[in-house]
Amino acid sequence: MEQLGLLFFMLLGYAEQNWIVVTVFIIGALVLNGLALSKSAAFFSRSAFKLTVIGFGGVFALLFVLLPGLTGSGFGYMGYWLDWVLLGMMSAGYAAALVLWIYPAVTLYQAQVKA
Amino acid sequence: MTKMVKLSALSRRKFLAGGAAVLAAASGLSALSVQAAESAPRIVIVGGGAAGLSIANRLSRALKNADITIIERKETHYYWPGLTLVATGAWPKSKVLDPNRSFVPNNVNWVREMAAEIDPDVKRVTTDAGRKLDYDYLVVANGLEYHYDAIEGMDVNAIGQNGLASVYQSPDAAAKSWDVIKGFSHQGGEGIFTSPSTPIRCAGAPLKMALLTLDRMRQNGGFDKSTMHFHSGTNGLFGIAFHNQFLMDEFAKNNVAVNLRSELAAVDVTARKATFKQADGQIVTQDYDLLHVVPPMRAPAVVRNSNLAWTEGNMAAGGWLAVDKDTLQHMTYPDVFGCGDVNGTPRGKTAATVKMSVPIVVENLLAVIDGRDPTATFDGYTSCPLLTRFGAAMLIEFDYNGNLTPTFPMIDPKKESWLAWVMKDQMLKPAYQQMLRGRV
Repeated sequence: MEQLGLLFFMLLGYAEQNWIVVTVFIIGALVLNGLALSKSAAFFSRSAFKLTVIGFGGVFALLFVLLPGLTGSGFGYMGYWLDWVLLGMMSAGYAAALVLWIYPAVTLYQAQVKA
Repeated sequence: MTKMVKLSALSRRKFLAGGAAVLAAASGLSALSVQAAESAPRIVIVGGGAAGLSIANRLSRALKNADITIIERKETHYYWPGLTLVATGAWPKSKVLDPNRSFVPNNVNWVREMAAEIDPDVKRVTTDAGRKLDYDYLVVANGLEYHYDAIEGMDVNAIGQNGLASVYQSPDAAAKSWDVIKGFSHQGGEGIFTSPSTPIRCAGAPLKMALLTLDRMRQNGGFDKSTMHFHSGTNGLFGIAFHNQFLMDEFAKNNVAVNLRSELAAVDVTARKATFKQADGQIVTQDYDLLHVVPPMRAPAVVRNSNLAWTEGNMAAGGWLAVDKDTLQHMTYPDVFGCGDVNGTPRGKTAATVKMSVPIVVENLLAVIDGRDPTATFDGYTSCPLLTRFGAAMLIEFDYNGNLTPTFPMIDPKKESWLAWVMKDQMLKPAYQQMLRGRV
């Protein structure tokens, strides 16, 4: 329980420290989803979902490859199994968050193509 | 809410006091009696560093009526754990500087002066501006003093010139140290790292400086052109046997000559000569192209010269605060508590120690205010994210007895990992700032 509390406040502190990025991300997600809801006839569609899953996979793979270097490290220093768990979780987490941008963008693109 | 008060036949004051007690309990503190929660004690906190700010935030939430004063001249808060990264070029200096005003609670009086005298017999702190502050309870949290003057010829103004580096003195000195280390990592030469025999803030920092400098030398080409030395004033490099051996092996692998019980006694900045006093009394002088100085450390003069310092035992020489290592209450004055680097306790002068000991101090202080004995005990927790190279670290956490006590049991403190590096580089400062606000 204590560990969960520490983890929560660590992440909260990280978000506070990067509040500009977090704010831009949230505003961007709200604008994109608002636009998608107003402009597309069917916001929830199977084809948009499929493309989003592919997008998620692409972002996940890209982050998985780039994150060690972006954090000033490299694959050569990842000799501990927990490093790979963390890398997987970080890549999946950021990719999942980006779904909030990818899905409406895909929906808007499809609406434009149909029009 | 008014109806609730009427229905329960509580007076408004009692209702508010009860609320304060609930708040205290919710924030992890033991529940206070209504009388204690209602009380308005005068609490003076000497020092506005990590411990002082964190305690001020917690106390101001637990005791709504208290008259809390924090004495700290500095307007800028230094994130000391980040200085090794500044001095090795991984972080800009700006990343370790934050305005103190963003951490001082609104309902706390902030006296922008320094404590000059503490008289625990009359319960009074006098500042360097002559202001007299009477208290009912005192928290001493004013860190420590770098005793550069103990090294003959040492000039802190020369840090950053003539191969002289020292991460400890200030963020400015850390940034200037990087200029020197950067040049050395390209050119190579005779490199010397030191660590004194006194208790020091973050005992891992001198080691991190050496290991990260070696990594920079490998990156920039100076490694093969250098002869490296590490002089430690103590019997070893690290207080935990496993990690001590790891470091000895690591230094051996990198051709770093380790000299134990060898203390920096003098430095000739212009001639680039460092003189060491060794355990057998021998005096050795070495030329250098890079000298990283870690000064001896002691309690600030205001504590050293007061009745609050240890007068016997191995903490007396440094004038460290005489607190019980378990409750962190003063040994003689029960209304005085100590927290952070100033404490004369066996191990741990780190931000991690502050994080774990602040709740103990607050809980025990509240108990004393409540007329109870302090019962919360501190196990001496401290932590060192030992940066072994850029991109890898060991997250070592241990207690007074040297037992490894990882917060997250799945993280092996004996393994180098990227995870520990990410923690140090990205996550520990956000956690630290939450600690300053009294949340962690």
